[in-house]
Amino acid sequence: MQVDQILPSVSYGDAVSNDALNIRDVLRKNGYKSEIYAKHIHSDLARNVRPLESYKSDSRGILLYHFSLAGGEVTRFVMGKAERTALIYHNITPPEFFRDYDLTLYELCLQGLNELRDLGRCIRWGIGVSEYNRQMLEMNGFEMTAVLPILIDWDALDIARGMEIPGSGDGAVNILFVGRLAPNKKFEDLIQTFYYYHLIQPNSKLYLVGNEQIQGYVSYLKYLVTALNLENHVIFTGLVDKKQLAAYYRSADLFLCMSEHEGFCVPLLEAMYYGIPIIAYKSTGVPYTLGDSGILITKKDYSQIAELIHIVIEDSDLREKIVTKQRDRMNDFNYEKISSDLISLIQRVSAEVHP
Amino acid sequence: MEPAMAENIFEIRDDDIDVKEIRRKILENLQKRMDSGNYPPPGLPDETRPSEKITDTWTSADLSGEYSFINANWDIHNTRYTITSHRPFFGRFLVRGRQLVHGEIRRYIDPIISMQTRFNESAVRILNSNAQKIESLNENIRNSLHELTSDIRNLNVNILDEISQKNQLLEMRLQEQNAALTALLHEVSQKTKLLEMHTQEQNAALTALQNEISQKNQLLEKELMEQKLLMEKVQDENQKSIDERVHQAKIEVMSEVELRSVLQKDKLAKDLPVLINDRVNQVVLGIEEDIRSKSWLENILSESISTTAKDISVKTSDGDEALLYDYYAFNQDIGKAWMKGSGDPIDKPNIFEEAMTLFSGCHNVLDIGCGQGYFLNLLKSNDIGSYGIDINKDYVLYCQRNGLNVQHIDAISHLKSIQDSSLDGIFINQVMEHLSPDSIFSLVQLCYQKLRNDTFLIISTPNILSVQVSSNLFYMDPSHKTHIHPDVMKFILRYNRFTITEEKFYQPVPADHKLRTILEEEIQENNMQFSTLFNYNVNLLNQFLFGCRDYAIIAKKWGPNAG
Repeated sequence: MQVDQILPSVSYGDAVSNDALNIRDVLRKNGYKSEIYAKHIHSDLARNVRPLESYKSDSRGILLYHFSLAGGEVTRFVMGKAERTALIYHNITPPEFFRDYDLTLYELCLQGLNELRDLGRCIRWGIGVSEYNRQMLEMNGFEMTAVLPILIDWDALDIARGMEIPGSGDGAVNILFVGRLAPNKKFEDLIQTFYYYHLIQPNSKLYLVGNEQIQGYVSYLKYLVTALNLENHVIFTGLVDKKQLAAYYRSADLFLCMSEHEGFCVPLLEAMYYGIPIIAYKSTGVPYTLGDSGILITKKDYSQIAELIHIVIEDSDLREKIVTKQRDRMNDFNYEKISSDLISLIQRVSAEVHP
Repeated sequence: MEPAMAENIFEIRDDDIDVKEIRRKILENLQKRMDSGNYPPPGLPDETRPSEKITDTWTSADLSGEYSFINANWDIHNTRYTITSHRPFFGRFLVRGRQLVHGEIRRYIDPIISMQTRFNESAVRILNSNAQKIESLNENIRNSLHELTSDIRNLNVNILDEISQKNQLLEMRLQEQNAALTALLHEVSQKTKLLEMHTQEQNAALTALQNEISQKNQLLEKELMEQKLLMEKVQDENQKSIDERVHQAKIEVMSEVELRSVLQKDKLAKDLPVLINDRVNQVVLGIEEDIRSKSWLENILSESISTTAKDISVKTSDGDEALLYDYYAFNQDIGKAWMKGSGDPIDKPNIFEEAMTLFSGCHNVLDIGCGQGYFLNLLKSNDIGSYGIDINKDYVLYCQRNGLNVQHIDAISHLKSIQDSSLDGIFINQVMEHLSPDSIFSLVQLCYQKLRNDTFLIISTPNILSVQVSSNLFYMDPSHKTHIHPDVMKFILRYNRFTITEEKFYQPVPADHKLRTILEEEIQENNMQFSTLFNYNVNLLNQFLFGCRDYAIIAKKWGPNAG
């Protein structure tokens, strides 16, 4: 049987694109024919992904539509094949986060939410990459919903051993966050928490690894860093490649996340893999991804969070307990387990589409 | 006592970890750091600081040892001994002897001991009572100090707030005045240019009109001349033919007279005058009949002359026709001014292409206020069945001349006249702002009634969320009536049972028409903080002042099967 995937755009290193490539590999390994079609294709992936225009309708097949931003004509294309389509929902950021910084993104998110509601009217199956996303799908009218976490190729993370990051070797305590510089991720809270921690431990640095896209937000963050006299201690790395990313994780002592909107948050799993204790604000998809592991922040009191960071850094027993629990949690995202979940889900969908 | 910020701030779901202990450590460390003085630090907003606690410099706990000692030992009577001896025999005497000695000594010592005990008792009582008083006084002082500190802090915050607000206000006013001045200069120069252009155009038009009139006059004169000549020619010809016929008749009569003179000389001599008269009368009647029948030519010619004259008088009059002609020209000019004020229009993306996609496969799309038929042409070239309406007669004629199906009628009357559910798409571009709020509501209501299920209504208006549009560009067309706020438009659509499927903003203002940020190479180390703040503020202001110029909303009439 043919199970194809459709995305508005694919690019190298993007979490949704990676998920689609991994799903295709699993499907092929299990005897399905499977291709990925996209409207915009990054040149690195031209050989792996076919242009949407070349899609030939096969009424016996199933379509998986990866939805993470407004698709426009791609969404309309998929709605024309609604009866044999299942939606994989990676979540859309609430537009309010962007209103003050970027009207284009604001519109895209607004349009995305509109499209999700329209899709919910005509598509029956909705698959969330987290329990939080599944609940969103239910709210938007999908009749059948399921959770299928993002497929992580853990072996691909075992790279860049011994590689050093810029500015390392001074014995500083390194606190890390990974994610594009978007207002929903609340980088201002990371910086203000770090301000207090830096008073406790002056030999410390905050590494913020992520793409700088939204100019207004970036200039606000840089203003904040300058105003708090932290220019030499808060490092914006910009976009980095896979090896550099692994090096940043390996150099980190603690992973701090203050985000107020996450569909899944892949960096939490990466931090688990590299054995870094996680302190994360309890919101949206974050508690579902952490499960019983890590430390969840329930109130953003910067000075108290700074003391908590200090305790976790200083108390090696406590740190070991947290990291062990995080490694246990990783097993729930085992590649084989999620692969078999995927296959049985596809079987359920296909039994219903072609009884 | 628990500190004020004792609310729990974290969760760990692991039974092996003592959460309470971690929490205690956090609060303890925090307290220590606050006590040490350099905590909380300046630079963060007040609500991010941990609450301050007044440090106790005097506590009863420091002297608690002393207090319990004097309270336990003020009584110095020694009653804790008995006089005994371990000696079997002498013991009895020894005990007795000691008792006597003790008795003697106590007679002197006891009064002193009693006095001292009495003194001790009073002293301890006074100390205890003073300690209590001091403690309660201390408590009072502590409370007042606490109140005073928070008052001072509030006052500080208020003063700082006030200063920063005033600063902001001042800055805003400065910027506003700058912007107003720039806009005014812009406007003046634009208006001057517009005036010059107008004057030139009107001069040209006047010259052209004068030329046309003089040409037409010449033409008319020529035509009149020609017609005069023609008429003279006709008259000449008629006269000639009369003369000829009379002459011929005379010859005929003469020949007949000559012929018959021989045979009936007598009879002829008698009848001849009558015969000649009859004959001449007949010929004259025939000629008159001929002249009458040729008068059609003159009628036609005179009618043609009067039509030509009327044609000239319509174009020069100040009636409606001439006014509409000017409105068309006005629109052309105002288009140029609009671009000068806010930058060139942006070709892509545009509402027309979006609308084309949504209307693909439709057979009966209505373009309300179709203007010169730009969108109708687009629909036509994509095989989408459509027609338009407009209240400007010139536009309607223009479209009809270009082979488009366009009627001269207003939207409400037209929609009332057609069948329900007969349209499969409605496009209303830059029209709503010309209508009153009541008409907008009626129009949307009628649109819902006339659309088939599962079809789209697309509306586009100036985006009044942009201050530049709502306070300036909007008024460049005096026929604009209503500011349409997107939320109001959404309400009207939803109230009339439409579902909003998309909102769009078009026509962003080009960068050279916005406020400029400080470039990265212009930032110096000593003004970095100011520059970043300035750029941040400029970005916010740009968003507010120079947002997209057009707003579009796409609404759908769902069928009965939709959710």
